[in-house]
Amino acid sequence: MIGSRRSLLITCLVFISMLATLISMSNAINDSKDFGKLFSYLLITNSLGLLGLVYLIGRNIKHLLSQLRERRPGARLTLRMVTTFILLAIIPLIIVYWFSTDFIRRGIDNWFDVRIEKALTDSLDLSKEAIGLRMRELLKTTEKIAEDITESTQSNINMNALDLSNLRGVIPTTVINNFDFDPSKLDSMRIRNGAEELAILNKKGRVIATSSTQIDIVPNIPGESILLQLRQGRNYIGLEPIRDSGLFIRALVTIPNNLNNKTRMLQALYPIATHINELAENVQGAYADYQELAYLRKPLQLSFTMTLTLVLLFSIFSAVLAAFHSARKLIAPIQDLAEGTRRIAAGDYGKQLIVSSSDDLGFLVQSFNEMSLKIATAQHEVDSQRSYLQAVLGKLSSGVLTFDSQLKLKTANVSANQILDTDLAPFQGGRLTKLPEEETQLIAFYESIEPQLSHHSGDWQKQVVLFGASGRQVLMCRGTALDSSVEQGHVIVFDDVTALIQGQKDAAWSEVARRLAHEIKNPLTPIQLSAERLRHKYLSKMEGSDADTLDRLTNTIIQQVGTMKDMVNTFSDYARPSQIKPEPLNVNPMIEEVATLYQQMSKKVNIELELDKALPIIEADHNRLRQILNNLLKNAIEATEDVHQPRVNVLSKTMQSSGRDLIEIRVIDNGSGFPDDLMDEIFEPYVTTKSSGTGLGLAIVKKIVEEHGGIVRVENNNDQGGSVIIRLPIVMENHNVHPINEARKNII
Amino acid sequence: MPVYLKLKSPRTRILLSLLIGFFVTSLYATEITVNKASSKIVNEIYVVNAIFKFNLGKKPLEALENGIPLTFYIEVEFEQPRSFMWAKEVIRHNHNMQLEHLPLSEQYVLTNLATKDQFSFKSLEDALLKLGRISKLAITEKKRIPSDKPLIGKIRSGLVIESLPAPMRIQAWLSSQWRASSGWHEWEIQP
Repeated sequence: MIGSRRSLLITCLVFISMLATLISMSNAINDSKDFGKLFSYLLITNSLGLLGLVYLIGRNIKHLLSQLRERRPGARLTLRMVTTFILLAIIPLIIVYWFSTDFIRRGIDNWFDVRIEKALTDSLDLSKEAIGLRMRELLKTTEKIAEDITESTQSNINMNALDLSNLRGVIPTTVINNFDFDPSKLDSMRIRNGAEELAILNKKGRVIATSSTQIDIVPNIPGESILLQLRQGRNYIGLEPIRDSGLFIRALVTIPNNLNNKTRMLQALYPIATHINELAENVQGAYADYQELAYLRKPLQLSFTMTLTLVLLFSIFSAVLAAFHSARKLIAPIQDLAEGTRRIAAGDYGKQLIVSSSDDLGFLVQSFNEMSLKIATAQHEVDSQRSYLQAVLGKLSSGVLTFDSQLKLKTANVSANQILDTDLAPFQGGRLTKLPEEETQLIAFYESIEPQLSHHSGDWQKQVVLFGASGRQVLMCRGTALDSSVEQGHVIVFDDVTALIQGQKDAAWSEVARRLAHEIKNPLTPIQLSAERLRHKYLSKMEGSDADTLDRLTNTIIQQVGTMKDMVNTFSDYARPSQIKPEPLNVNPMIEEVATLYQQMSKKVNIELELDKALPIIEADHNRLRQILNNLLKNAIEATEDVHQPRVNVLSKTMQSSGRDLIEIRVIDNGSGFPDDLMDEIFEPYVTTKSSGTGLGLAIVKKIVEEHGGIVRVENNNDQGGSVIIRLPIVMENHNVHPINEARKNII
Repeated sequence: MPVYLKLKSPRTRILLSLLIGFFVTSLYATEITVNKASSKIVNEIYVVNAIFKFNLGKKPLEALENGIPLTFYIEVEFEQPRSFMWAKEVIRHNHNMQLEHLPLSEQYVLTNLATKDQFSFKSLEDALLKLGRISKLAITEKKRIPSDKPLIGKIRSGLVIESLPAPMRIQAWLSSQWRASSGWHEWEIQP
């Protein structure tokens, strides 16, 4: 703003200065003496001023061109306005200029008239003729005086040159001489003939004798050329201006002298009558002025045209500058509005513009400011609501995904990342199809929800089963299509119900086992006692085959009841609530101990251990963990019964997952492996691949592992056999709480 | 034939035109030369004597005959040479003479603008001869000039364009006939 004001001030100063110099220049051409002296400087000043204006215009044009190149808002409008302003200013100026130059040319031409010129020439000739007559008379008079001098001069003339330096200030009024000539005669000759001055000169023009009306004046010495003319024998008569005294007639004649052949000259200065002098001066002045003016006709036309051209250029340049200034001033609020609109479009809400005027544009700017303020307020509210929504979504345990109408992922909350075990941030803004391309474990998720999003317009619900690093995962997805005028797309809310389903299953199985144990265990004891009583009472009384039959049957009853009791006890164990007693435990010795036991029992199987010697001490229940190892090794050995070279590997190592330290125990066999169709339910009760057994082994393993806050999973080996993998936390966080959910959260 | 063809080429014609133009212009050019210049001390005053030769070009002559007075400057400078630096100006003297033609008396009048002394001449040649004879032009008192170091005297003369009527000056600036100057003529002034 300050720069703009300074620029305006400079422009105004240049404008005023140039106006003043142009006026002065006009006066100078009109022959004003004061300005005439300054003409050159004024011309240079004006030229420099014009150059300054050209520079300012150049800067403005350059600025405008750069704005046009950059496609700045308002640049084209500025160009249009400037062009219009310039055309409006230039066209009348050029018309006025055209007519003005024509008028100047005609006006100056009209100053000159052939008749006036002829009259002036005639006047001059007349004056010359009149004065010429007088001059001829005076020449004769002078010749007569010269003859008189000759006659009056004594025979022994001795004329020597005067030293004029002695004359200054002391010259007598009549005559000074140093030769034999009666001085009073020269004086009387001068007075008699009406001469202003009479002087006798020698050949070289030096004064010998003089007589003048002036006391203190040096005799006016003729020029060398006049003396030369005299020496050549030709008398001289001429009209000459004498300093401060007007026109005089100067006559020089040779004084006849035959005595000693010394040339003497007589000079006479005759005044011209005052009124004739004045008239002659006037005629000469008028003629000279007219002649000068006629000679200056073309330069005058040129000068006037040039001055007018300078005025025209000054006017045009000023108009151009004014056009730029006006256009800029008019466009500035529009440019501000455009810039403000651009800023708002770019998300910078609340942009306030300076209201610099109270006109319509000012009202427009004010309206823009109000609009901007309202948008900013609304945006703030939207942001607040969005933040609130994001906070709510962030705290939700359910995963939430939103897609736009083109199935591009818009939002994904933290729970969605956790449930899907994927950072979805990189996929935001990308199409849904990218998800399975880069995250292969989510193919099933994509294939389940994509048809719903593409073809379903209402609410939908679907259960999705995923197989990831943490094993089988069941998601309950609910979706709805957003079909409002503001927003179109889809929202999916999903929960990981794996643990819930598993918990429900576990609870159901526990209840079944508990009831089964309760219902079966109660009659077993009377059955066993009854069988033992029958045997005891009647076996001794029977003989032969009857005794054998009774013995065999009662033994079978007692044995089967014992088996059923074992089975019921196993069920009881499975159904029993968690009662683990965690203590510090080094797992490796326990693995070695159990492995040694089974190696002795099954020598055919090669049990190999790969144990991490740096395995940390964990908190676990000795008995329960031993039970796990027993079950797993037993299962592994049983799985390798039909294998040519049965082998069981037990591995232990330390690892980290989700920032927690864990130990991993792997029991690997080269047996038949796990059937694919049972992989999802291998840990459920009564699921077994063996012809005998309760089918509770792995279910109990899973239960104990989960009681310890760990996880267990199975997988088939690449070559042969299967593996059971157990991961246990080194330190149990809370062993009294059933840690299924915690385990799922922390151990993957 | 070959010569004719060469003359017909535009480049040759332009060069020929320029040469002719230059020749014609030089015929009408104003020439001012310094034939001789010297200085001496008379009555404890430095005076300069010089002889110039003035040949007026066509334009200045035309102006003079049409009643435009011509003003000539005669500029005298005394400088003190210095080693490794430009000379130091000791004194500068300007002397203007005006030449005009009076139509009534048909005389050329030479006026010393400083003293207002006038000299009338029947012919222009006489007037220019008088103009060119600078005799005992007083420059400065002897005591004002440093007496211990040698000086360089410089003289030049030319037309004063600024004394012309304002409308003529633009043309005068652009014409070499008006901007003629003798250039500096130098002589040594011994202490």
